[in-house]
Amino acid sequence: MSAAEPITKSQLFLLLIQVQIGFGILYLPNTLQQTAKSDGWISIILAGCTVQLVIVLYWLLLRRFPSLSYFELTKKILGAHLGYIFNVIIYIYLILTSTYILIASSKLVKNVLLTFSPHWAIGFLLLAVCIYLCSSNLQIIVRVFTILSVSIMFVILLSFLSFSLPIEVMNLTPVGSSGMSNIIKGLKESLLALYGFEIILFLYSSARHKGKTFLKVITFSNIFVVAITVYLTVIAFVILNPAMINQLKLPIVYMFRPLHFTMIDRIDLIFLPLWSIPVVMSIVVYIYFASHWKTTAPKKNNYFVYINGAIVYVLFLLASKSDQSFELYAKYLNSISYVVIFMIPFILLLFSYILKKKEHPS
Amino acid sequence: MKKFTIVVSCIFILLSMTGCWDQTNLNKKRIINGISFDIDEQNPENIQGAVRELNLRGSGGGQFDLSDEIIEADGVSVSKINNELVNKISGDMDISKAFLVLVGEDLAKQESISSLFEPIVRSKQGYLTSKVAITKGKASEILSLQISKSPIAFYILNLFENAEKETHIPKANTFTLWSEVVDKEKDAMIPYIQKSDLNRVELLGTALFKNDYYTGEVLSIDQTSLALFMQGKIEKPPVMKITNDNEKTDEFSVFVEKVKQKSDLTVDKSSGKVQLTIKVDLYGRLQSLAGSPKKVTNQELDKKASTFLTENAKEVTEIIKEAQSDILAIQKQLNSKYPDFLKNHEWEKVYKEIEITPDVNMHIQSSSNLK
Repeated sequence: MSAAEPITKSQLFLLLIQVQIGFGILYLPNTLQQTAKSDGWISIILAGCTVQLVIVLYWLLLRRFPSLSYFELTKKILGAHLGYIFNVIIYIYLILTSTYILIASSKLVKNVLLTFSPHWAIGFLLLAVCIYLCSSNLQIIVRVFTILSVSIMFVILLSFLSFSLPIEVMNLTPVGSSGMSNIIKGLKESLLALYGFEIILFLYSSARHKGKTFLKVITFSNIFVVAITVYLTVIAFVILNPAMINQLKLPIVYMFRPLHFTMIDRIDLIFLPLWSIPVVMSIVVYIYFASHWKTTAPKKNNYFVYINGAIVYVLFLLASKSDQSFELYAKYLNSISYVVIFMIPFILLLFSYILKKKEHPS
Repeated sequence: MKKFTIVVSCIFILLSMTGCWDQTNLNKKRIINGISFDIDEQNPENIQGAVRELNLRGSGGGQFDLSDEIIEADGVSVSKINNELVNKISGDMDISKAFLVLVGEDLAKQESISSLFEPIVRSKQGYLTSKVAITKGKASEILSLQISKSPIAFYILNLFENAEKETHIPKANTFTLWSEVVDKEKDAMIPYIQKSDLNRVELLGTALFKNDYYTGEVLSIDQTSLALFMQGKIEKPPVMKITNDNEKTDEFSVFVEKVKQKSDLTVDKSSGKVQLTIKVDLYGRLQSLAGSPKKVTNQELDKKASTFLTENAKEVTEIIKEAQSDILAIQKQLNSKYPDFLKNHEWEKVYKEIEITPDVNMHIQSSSNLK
């Protein structure tokens, strides 16, 4: 990994926004309607602030060990044994997250695009592309993400089309009517949609610019993602009314459906594949880092990539595709993610300060 | 070994090409271009549904034969009708291009509109931009008309699109209807059509809804235009003709080019009285004037038009109040401005006693070619 070229600022930015943008946003207006209602956008902004706080703490931790990968860092701070246990937990998290994204995307493709195709085929095709990309090195992955960021541009352009639908700004007023407690509840939901930023932990050692420049880049990427999330949620709220959002599973996909032009219909069927590209590709990043915790020699890693790919596919096949079990799965993953995203980094940060552990520039 | 892997993976990828499962051949498709719902006359509990299907048959040499026929079925619910239709149509029934949904007025009064549209909105295929209309008399009678060679749905589609452009009817489709029916704070209005004596389709105005049901009240086309002005929902400056036909000799008409709308909602806290003032400013040019060259000034015409239109707008507000149809989204405005008011007051009562004051002002800016 160290032999490869380091990641530049713009590459880091584009990689992060694509990993952070996920399927969660598509469901978000519906989940927010249960709690914060039309004040959901406030919840998202607050969630964005929380994420910002967390990534600053990540940065405080990471800048003490600029050249160590995250898996090495845990061992360095906590010692070989405890570090190993932590690494296993992180590994499990990475594999489960990849599986989760795979299930979510194949469910979405099946529900909206290809109704008659079986899950195993959709999942296999999605995963096959990811594994192929994964077997190369980080530099290539990052370059692919740079090209794929065009799809985000298209998504933003498509969203402008929705302004041709009747818009009801009164759906957002009065601001703050749902009360502080509901907004805080909504914050929790919005936080789920913003997950993906934890990948920062693995990227620091490969970044070209460290220190303050790194913090700036990750801050901008967070602001960008939060802005897009707020923007799409607000559009969904003004185009669809609250009662409708309550009924719809995927409000942000559905709001493109009534768009109608002489040349083209059903914009939702164009929106969804475009949106899926970066989301599915974030599996690549998760599997890549899951495969690189034991060794850094590039040849051997491919071996791990295929094994991890197989594990993800088997887990994907085993998982029931019903809505209920999917929700349950999300709940379990959610509790692990609390440990990996919040607890472990904080423990590491705390110990690194208490034990005064720091990488010495050699 | 490497070759073997490539061959095996190629086979697997070919097998799993997902398109194979989801493909349908065009010649097996039966494309539905219009749907109608009515009350079943024999059994009033049932809904009678009819579809106009387009049959494409290749006749060789890249040519296609088009035939289009009407197929009827009845059942207690829309999904029942759907099942029955599937068995009556030879081929894959495809509703993803159903441009038109007509509902007979008797059914619309009796059956909740959301139960009719729910399967369309829920399904993956359902076409949300299909035009919707209430029909005077039976809807299937209009759907089965054969005016020209092209299907009737396209004829009605063009009729509606033109009327929308002229601000004669609101832009209503399955999506807007569903969104307004689901939204408890606003009511829907959709076009109202009838079969004329010469077997043509004629636009009469708009049908007013209250929640899920058609109220039976209809606004004429002129009234609909005024109602749309009062809603302030004009995307493009509409070109609309307003005729003052109080007295034949005084008649004149104006092309409206720009509309400004401002509404103000106030609640008297002590008496709980709700007042809505809607100010509409119309800017336009003279289209025709009896007794031209004119002997009157623009200001005089402005004044005449304003009084006449305000009078008419009052009539409109009376009709919608009578029908209890909240097409002006007053409840939404009320909840947005006074969030606690409706917690203590019942909406139905509030709406009955609400005072709506329309104030339409005409500003004629030019008299076109003649002085």
